[in-house]
Amino acid sequence: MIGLLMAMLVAAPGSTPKTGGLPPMLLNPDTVVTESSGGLPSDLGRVMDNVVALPGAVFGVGVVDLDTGERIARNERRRFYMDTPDIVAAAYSVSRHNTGEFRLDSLVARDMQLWMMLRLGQQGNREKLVASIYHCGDFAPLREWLSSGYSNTEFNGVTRNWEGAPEFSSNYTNVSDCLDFIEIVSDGLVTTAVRRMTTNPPLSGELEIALGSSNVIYGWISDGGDTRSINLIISRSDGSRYGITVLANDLCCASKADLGFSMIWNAL
Amino acid sequence: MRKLSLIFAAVMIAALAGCAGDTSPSGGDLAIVQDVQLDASSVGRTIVLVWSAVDDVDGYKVYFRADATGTYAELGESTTTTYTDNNATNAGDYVVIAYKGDNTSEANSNAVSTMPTVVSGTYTIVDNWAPAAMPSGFIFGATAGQTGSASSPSFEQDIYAYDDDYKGDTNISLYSGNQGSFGNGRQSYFQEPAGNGYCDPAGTWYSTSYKLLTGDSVVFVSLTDGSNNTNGYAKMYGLSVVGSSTEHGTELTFSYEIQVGQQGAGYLTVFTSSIN
Repeated sequence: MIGLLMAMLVAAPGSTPKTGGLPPMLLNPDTVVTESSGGLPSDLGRVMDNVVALPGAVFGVGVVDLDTGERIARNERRRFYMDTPDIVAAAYSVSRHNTGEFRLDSLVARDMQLWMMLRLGQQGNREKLVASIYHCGDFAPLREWLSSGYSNTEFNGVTRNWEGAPEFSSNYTNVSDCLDFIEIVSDGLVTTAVRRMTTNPPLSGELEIALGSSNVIYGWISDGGDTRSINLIISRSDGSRYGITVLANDLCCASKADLGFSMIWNAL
Repeated sequence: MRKLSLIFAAVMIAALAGCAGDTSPSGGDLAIVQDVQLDASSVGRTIVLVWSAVDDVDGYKVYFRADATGTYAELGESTTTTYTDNNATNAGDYVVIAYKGDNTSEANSNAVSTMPTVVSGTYTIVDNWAPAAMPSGFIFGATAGQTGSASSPSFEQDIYAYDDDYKGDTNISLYSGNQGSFGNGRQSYFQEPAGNGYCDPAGTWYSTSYKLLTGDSVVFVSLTDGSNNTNGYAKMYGLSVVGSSTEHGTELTFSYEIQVGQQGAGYLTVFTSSIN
């Protein structure tokens, strides 16, 4: 009992309740899994083919073994519409943190450090996601960073719902770039702020069931209209670590994207 | 006895008259110190006074009062014709007297003021949840006033109000005029008050936004021209935040005073300490 209470005390201080997902006390952001995994399963490509063939959506899918760097993907170069590019903001901020351009634990709004703002964006707060970009030096340097190696990704803005709110062109990305972003953030998970801003993504009930409760999960899930983007970093209890990307457009229903993700996850 | 009482009364009246607004020990028979002024090196909280020499004196005493109707208190002494008030904590008036032994100038020098321009009136700006035509931005200084709106974001404000939470709550931030969703204006910086009478140019300034917290009554703003060069400091005070979920979003009401340069000196960062 004391152990459980201690785990609850150290788990994700200051984080807000998420929509769905595992209880925060089970996903201690201060936990780092470092054991090596054994590579990707040989039949993963076949499973991905099946996912891409699912009716009711256009899919781009990919998996990266975060220990070996081995990747398997389908529709890897196809551009997909993405509603809230929170994964892009996270990768960019981690990259700039690593170069020393700014710090994720810098106090940016009197009562909030930068990672907290990114965390709220990851949890679905559109305003905080936009604000975090402004606190990272505005959109221009972000776009310059994207053009330096992730040119299939466009971060044009995040739609908000107050009267007169600016309108933006759509945001786009592809599987290859998302796997790159996942690797950037995964490498940064040794930093507490990175773990705290990416832990407990807002999983749906289907994804909670599929992933179970024994894995440490970081990542981002974005929904909007007929699109859904699932980008997760998963450390399994056996020490294996994967990055999984499922980009879905023209969806008939959100659960179709979760089905595709579950098929891939079950093959790992 | 009656004559003695009249003399005593006359002395007391004279003494009280001499104390009104001025306790500096001038009243001797040395010459009055002339031409006291702010030196051009004055900047921020460093107030440098210079004046013309008085012959055959031991030195000079500098007096300060924070209120135009207050009393002067000795600030320090100098044996030269200059004095530096480092780390001033509020604006006010300075006078200088010469002394030799116990003898002093027959009267105070001219007073030098570091007081800001106090802009009368209160202003209200609203956040992004208000109707799009209502003003969110604000310009300090000669053309002060509310400006801009959500529906017309191309304006040149110094700051604007923005709520990145929900309509009608009291969460509100001040954004620099060139940052964020309405960021078509000039760069401003924000500083938490360490005291009501000054801000610190070398201290911590928020360059993007400044979240107003419950209980805030004062915030300092560093102003710039279109090229990000400092052109003054403002003290916003009397901050009042009212949330309305039905009409105007969140309203921010405030008054302000401003330092835009004193007599050729640099930009001072001292303000009236008695208002907040």
